[in-house]
Amino acid sequence: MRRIGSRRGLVICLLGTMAGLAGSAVRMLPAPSLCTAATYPHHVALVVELGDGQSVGRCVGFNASSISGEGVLRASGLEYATQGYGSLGQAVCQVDEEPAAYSTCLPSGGSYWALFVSRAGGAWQPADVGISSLEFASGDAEGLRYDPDAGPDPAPTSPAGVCAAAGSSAPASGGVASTSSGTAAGGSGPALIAAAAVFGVLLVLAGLQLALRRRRA
Amino acid sequence: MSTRALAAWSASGLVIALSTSNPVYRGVVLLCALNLLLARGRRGPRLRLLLIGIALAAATATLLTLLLSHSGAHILVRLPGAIPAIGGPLTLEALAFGLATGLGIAAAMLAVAPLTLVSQPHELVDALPPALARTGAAVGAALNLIPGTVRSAAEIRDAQRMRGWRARRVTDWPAVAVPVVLTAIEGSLTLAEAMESRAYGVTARTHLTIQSWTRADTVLTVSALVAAALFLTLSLTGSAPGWFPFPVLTAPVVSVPAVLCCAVLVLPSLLVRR
Repeated sequence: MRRIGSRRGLVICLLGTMAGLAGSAVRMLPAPSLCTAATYPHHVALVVELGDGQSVGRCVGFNASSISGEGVLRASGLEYATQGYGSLGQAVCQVDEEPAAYSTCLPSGGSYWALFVSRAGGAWQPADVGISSLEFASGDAEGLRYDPDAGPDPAPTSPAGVCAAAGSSAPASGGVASTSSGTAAGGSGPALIAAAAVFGVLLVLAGLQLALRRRRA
Repeated sequence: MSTRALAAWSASGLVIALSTSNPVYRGVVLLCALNLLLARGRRGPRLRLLLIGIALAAATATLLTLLLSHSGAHILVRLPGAIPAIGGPLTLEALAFGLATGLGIAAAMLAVAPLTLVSQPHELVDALPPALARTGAAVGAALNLIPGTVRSAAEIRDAQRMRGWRARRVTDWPAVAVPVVLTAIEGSLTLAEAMESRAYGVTARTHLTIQSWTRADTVLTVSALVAAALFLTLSLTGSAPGWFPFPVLTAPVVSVPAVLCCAVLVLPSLLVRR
């Protein structure tokens, strides 16, 4: 019994060391990529206004000189669905599971997703092509508003502040990053590496537990 | 480790596993539960059987999602449309979603498994509040009946084989099934008579042993409940978003605080066994 206890203690020491190393590795990684600290040279703000009036802001970072409207939506991490409308490109049919089901993407009467564009901090303008045909440069904004009523669509809330301090961040070599504005503490690269470190530690621990279990048997 | 602390840990793991669709968090919960089962689970074939069952359930969920969900941009293979239900494109997104669903099922099952693989049935009954003691006793007796029935089925099958019985057709199985059912009924009646002869239910429930509650139990319970509450808060405020691979497969967005909340569940497996 005493022997098992000392071995278990040794295992815990080893794991503590590993956890410390993993923690140090995580600390050495860049801070979570909030929009205000994103490590991408270019940023596009995405504002999605849901049917209940709730507004969701995302700041999407990218390295290339421009990004497509669908690329912005995809990188945001929000669920969405589109449908092709010939030369106009893809229309947005569903965002964040709203509507839960639909038969026609852009019904002649009823609710649909209206698409807006803001260039270089300017006012919202209704998009004249589908989301896949839109190109955004750094400082532009993409807006989506789910209007439950037929008729004219008021613009979404202002994108100001969604990518507030993004311009001060250092460039990076990664691809498109998706981050939430304001409250999100998660990123893509560093957070995934941290998660992988946790996975590794837990797997090693499971292996040690299994070895101890077999030795005790 | 107290059974009540273990129940709080299981509830926390279950809440985290079921409140998110993000496979990263589900995976961490699964590994924490696996660690606990390996560290403190009873020896025997039950853990292996459980893992096989979980693997089958996860594989079934993955296969069903892959075959029935035809959404997604990356088509792996296209089945003829004439095949009912499963005909159409099979996509990478559906496969990923199926794997995430299977991971969720596995994490949820492993989170509650310590209640039967670490604790004894009588410890579970003892851990219940007095008002639920009788219900717990009934449930505990029923749970005890399952392994007994499995053992009985194996013994009866072996005995029948020695008499030349072979399972060739379905109609051969009553030769085993009928004695198993009769044995189970007989066992239940014997248990009921034994409980009655010991004056079960006449007075308040007594305990052979009193479960102790240590400082470690307090730490484990509080840490697990706080971790689950924090995770729920992060999830509800959008800081620990779920994951949805449709229409185009993307990597899940991971929140470091949420991962740490899940990783806190590994604490019970690090306890030194006395």
